[in-house]
Amino acid sequence: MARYFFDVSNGGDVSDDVGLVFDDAHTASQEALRSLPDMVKDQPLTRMGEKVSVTMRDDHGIPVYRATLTIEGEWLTRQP
Amino acid sequence: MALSKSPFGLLARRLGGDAPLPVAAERAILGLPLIIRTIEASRDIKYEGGTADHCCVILDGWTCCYQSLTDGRCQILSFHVPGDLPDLQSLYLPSPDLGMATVTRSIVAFVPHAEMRKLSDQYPAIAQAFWREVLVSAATHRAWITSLGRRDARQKLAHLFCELYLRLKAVGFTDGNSMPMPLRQTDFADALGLTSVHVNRMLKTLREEGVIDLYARRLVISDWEALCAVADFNPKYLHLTD
Repeated sequence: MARYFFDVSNGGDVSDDVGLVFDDAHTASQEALRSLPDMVKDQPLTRMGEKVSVTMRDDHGIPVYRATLTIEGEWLTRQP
Repeated sequence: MALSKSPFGLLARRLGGDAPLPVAAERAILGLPLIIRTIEASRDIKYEGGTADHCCVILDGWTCCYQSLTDGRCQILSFHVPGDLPDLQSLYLPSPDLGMATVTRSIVAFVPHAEMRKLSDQYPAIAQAFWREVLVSAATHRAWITSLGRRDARQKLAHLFCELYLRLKAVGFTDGNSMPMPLRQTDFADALGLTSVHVNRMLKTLREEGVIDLYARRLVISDWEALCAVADFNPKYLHLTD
């Protein structure tokens, strides 16, 4: 069991000062990855190429993993 | 022992709803034979033999009802606080379609179904109170469906906080604008259909907005009006009486 911290970047950067306890780094990284759709769901998508990322730090504060999701949309005809 | 101080004082008050129960009905509640068990945190509350022949009443601590998927994921359906009867439905549906578990160490009273039936047969006010309990429980599930389906993560959390605060306040477990908050981020995640990482992020947002504070297993509601506004909260569905 170890505590990991999850800093979120979606437009602005929000650093995590509470953290979450997971069995191991792999489980924590999976949760970080799965959180991306959650986060995107809640934010207004206004720009193309909108990016959301979660950087996971271990309990020494060292970044060990980053998950990123990019939302893209493009017109296939002339933009109406 | 005065009714208000007895383990069933909470129950009598709860079942009373809008109007206090007739004295005879209150006495009958006080005279219920009950088995009281203390159950450690994070344990299943199980029925012997898999079929319910008792209803439980939460006397102290927090419990939850849940359903699990075969891959191990879990959906928490409701949280229960002192005074609650989380499995009143088992009186007529003894084969459980959900699991019950403790969140914190809890004191739970088990009342035989036969005794519950006797109570409701003898006292129409109690039969009506059971009906009311089940209907309020259904109303609460409806509110949760709306929340799960249509609120965003920040609103879902705010809505749950509003609900839990009012329910705890009704049984005297709040202290001013603060209340015990034994739920962990993973519990919120399992109740609200979110990942714990996102819950963590949204709790931080609510704290930074000055709406709530969360420390030492207590929730402080710094701005009730703002919390209700975030949640789009209407307490009607709880049908609480002051």
